[in-house]
Amino acid sequence: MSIKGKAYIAGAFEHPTRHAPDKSTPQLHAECAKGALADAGLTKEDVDGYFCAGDAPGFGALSMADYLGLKLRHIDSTETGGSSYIVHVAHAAEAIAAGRCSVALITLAGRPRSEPFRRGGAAAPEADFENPYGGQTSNLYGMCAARHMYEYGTTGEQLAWIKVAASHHAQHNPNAMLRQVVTVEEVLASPIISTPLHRLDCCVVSDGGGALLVVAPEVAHALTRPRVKVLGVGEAIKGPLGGRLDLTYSAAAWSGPAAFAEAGVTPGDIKYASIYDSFTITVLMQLEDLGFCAKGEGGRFVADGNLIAGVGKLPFNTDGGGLCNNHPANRGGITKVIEAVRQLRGEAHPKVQTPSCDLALATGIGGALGTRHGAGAVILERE
Amino acid sequence: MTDTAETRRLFPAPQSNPETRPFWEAAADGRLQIGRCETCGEAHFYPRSLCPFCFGPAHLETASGEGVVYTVSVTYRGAPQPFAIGYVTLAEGPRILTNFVDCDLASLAIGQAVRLVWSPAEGGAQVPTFTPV
Repeated sequence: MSIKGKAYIAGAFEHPTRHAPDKSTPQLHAECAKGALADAGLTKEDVDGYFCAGDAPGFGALSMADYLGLKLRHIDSTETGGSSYIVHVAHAAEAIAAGRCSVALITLAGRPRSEPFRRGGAAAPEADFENPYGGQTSNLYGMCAARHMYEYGTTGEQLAWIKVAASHHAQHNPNAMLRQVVTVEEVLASPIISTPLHRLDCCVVSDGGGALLVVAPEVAHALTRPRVKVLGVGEAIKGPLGGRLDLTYSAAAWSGPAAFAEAGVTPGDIKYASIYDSFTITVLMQLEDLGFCAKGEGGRFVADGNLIAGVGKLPFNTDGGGLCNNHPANRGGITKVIEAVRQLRGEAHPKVQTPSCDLALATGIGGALGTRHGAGAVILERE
Repeated sequence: MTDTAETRRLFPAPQSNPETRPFWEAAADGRLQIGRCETCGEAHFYPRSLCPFCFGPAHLETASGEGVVYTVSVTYRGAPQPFAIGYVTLAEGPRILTNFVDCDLASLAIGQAVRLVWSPAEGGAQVPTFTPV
């Protein structure tokens, strides 16, 4: 696909300041965004794509998008130094041509005259308001689990079933870190890390990695391996929303439906699902948000082995997932796609291979569910 | 699991910037500030100079310091001592990330009424924390 004639630059704004000792870097980004919107005659609500680079304070685009209060369906934080914003124009045109967004905002701002150089850029806008409180991965997910239990009556036993299912799969994976099958009782007997999450509700910490090649159709057709086609994708981010925080759902509530709509399939059509499993609660919330069950029904959905290959209705993470197999770089998202490809090729372990697996889903949640996070969903088809 | 260990640790010092300095100056005076938009009238937290809902100009206003526990997680591992992190729904509406102090951590419950107490941070600053009413 060419981008020729598929995108236009509708708004542009150069900040008049040359010395901003009385402003913050996020503030300058916001003022630039507001200026460009005014120039174009658009409003903040029109923006559905956001592009920023290394000058943007915080973690990728997550902090700035939340600071700005953007509701997005396309995010890009490609960092190539001063050329980033040219690349962003190109990427934005590609995204618009592909229907990924219709109004892409690109911002750059900084205060090198007013604050000392910081490697990695300025502090995240939320830093002073969040960093003092000891947020760590376990408690940022623990807070979500606690609220889910309060709202819907979800239990520790139900969460434990997710780990139990993963362990049933990991026993067949010689590379898995935790190959021993565990029981609900063993999960609940493991030490509390941060309430209500036990040690066995948490993924492993592992070294490792993975890689993928995404190719053009003509390349795929010239190769001999079984063809796995990308049918639909979705992405979204979510944060505390200026204080309108709601921890009962994840950004998968937006990324999932977008992927299903593009693929033209429904959750009921999915034969195998790789569901990002940093914690058991991460899986449970996504299953609801993706539409495998109604909101609040996740606990009942995962109970009694419903995620175990050959036992339940939705085989998940048949490599053992992050909970038992590996979680390289503390962000095992790529492993989710890899196991989905194995399933679609019919190359998963025979004990966990889904029969006639022609449609699979892989998801990721990055950042922290309890503060700000990104969600991705990919639907793949065996051609 | 009960834990009444010392629940008020010394918090890291906030690194204020020109946008957040008024918040921390008010904090030093014992006033918790939230953002209020001059265009749409909505309250938000953490405070921004432009409203995160409509991009209108926002100003600071003092919150009552009253709220209820929206969620809480008591962390027992990976920290020198157990502590309780959570969100409080302020009476003014916004939810704020915080710690709960001066209480039996294990007895904290979602829906419980709490009030603002300031906790000391390094360098003489203080950060907003909450305790059961």
